[in-house]
Amino acid sequence: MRKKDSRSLVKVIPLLIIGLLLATGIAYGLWSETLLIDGVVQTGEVYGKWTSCICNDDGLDPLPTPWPYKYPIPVRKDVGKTTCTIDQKDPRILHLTIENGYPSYWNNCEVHFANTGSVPVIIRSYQVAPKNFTLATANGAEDGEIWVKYWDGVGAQMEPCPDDSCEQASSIQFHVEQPAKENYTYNFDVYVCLAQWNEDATMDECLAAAPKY
Amino acid sequence: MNKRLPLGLLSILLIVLLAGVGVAYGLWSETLTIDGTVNTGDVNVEFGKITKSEKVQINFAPPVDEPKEKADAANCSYEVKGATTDSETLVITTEGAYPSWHCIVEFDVVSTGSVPVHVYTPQKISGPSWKDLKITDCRKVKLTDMAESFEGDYCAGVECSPTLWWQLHKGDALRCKLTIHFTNDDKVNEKDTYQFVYKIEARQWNEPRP
Repeated sequence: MRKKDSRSLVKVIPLLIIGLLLATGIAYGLWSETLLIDGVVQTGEVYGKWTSCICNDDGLDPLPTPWPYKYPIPVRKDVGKTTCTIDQKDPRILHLTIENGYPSYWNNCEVHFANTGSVPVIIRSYQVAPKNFTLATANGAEDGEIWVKYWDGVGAQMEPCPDDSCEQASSIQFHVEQPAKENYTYNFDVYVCLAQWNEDATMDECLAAAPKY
Repeated sequence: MNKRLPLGLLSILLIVLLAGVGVAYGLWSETLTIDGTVNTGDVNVEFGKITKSEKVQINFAPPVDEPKEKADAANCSYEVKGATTDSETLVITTEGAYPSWHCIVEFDVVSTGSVPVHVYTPQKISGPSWKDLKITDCRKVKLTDMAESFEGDYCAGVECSPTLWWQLHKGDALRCKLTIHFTNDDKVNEKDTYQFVYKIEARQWNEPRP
C-alpha cells in the first residue's frame, strides 16, 4: 500500500509544480509590461537611364563645327553614318555606332537622360574610355585616331522624376582623325557618373557600379 | 424512598446551568472584527510624446536638416498600435531610405500605472546590424504641466548599458532617441525592405529582473 501511495505521489508532484509555476508566471506577467518598437525600413534607389539620343544625320555627312582645318569646307557627301540607340535590355547603356567613317567624319549627338530612381542625384563626373585606340587631344589635333568629347553637366543635380529637374541634356561629339586605319572598328565608352546627391563618389566607385555589357 | 436525584435530571440541570453561565459570559465579552479590502495597483507604461525628424549628411559632414527640395525622396512616419493594451507597439516606417539619410524618432515611455516601475534600456530583438541603427540618449524626464526636468543616468549620444534601468513613478517618463541610418559600408540593398524590433521592458520597481 505505501509503495502505491509513494508512486502516485511521484506522479502528482511534477504536475503540481507545473501548475504552481504556471500560476506564478501568470501572476508575474500581470505585474510587468513590455512595449515594442517595430521598425520597417524600405530603401530607395539610385537609378538613371538614357531617354533619347539624336545625331546630326540628315543623309549628308555633317561637317565639324567649327571647321578645324586650313583648307576650305568641302561639299557635303553622304558617306558615313551615325546611329544612336538605347539598349533594349538595359536603358543605362547607349550604343553609338559609326559606319564607314573616314578621316574628318564628324558628328554631334544630343543625348538625354533622366533620374528615374527615388533618390536625388548629382552628376559627379564622366569619362571617355577608348578601348582600342588613342584618343586625340582635340578636334583635328591628329594625335590619335578618334577625338571624342562629352559635354558634361558635371555638378548639376537631378531630382527624381517627374520633377522638372529630373532630366538632363548633354552632347557628345566625335571626329575621325587622320591616323585612323581603314576597315577598322574602333570602340569607346563614355561613362556618366550619377551619384547620390549628398555623397561624393570617385570615378572608380562609379565605374565599379557601372552596368556591364 | 430514594433520596438521590435521578441521573437524567441531574444532567439536564447541569446543561441549563452551563447555558446560564454562557449567556452571562457572552454579555461580558467583545469581539473585534477586521474587514479587509485589498485594492491592487497596476503596472502600466505607454508611449507618450513622440517626435520625428529627418536629417542627412552631405559629403560625410555632420547631419543637417533635410533640405526641403529633397524631402520627398525619403520619408519616415510612426504610429502607435494597440495603445493602452498590453501589446502597445510603436511602428516606425521609412520609405525611400538611402545611405546617409537619417530618421530620428524621439519617444517617451510614460509610467501610467500606480506602481512605480523600473524601465530597462530598450533592447534590439531583431534587425540588421547597421552601426547606426540604435537607441541612444535615454534619460528620465519628470513631466509637469509647465516644464520638463531631467534626472538620473543619461547616455548622451551613446547606447545605454542593457542592464541600466530608470525608476519611474506615475507620470514620469523615459525619453530615448531612435536613429535609423545606414552607410555604404553597411552594404544595404537598393529597393529592399529591412525590419527591426526593439523591446522595452518595465517591471515592478522592487522585483529583480530574472
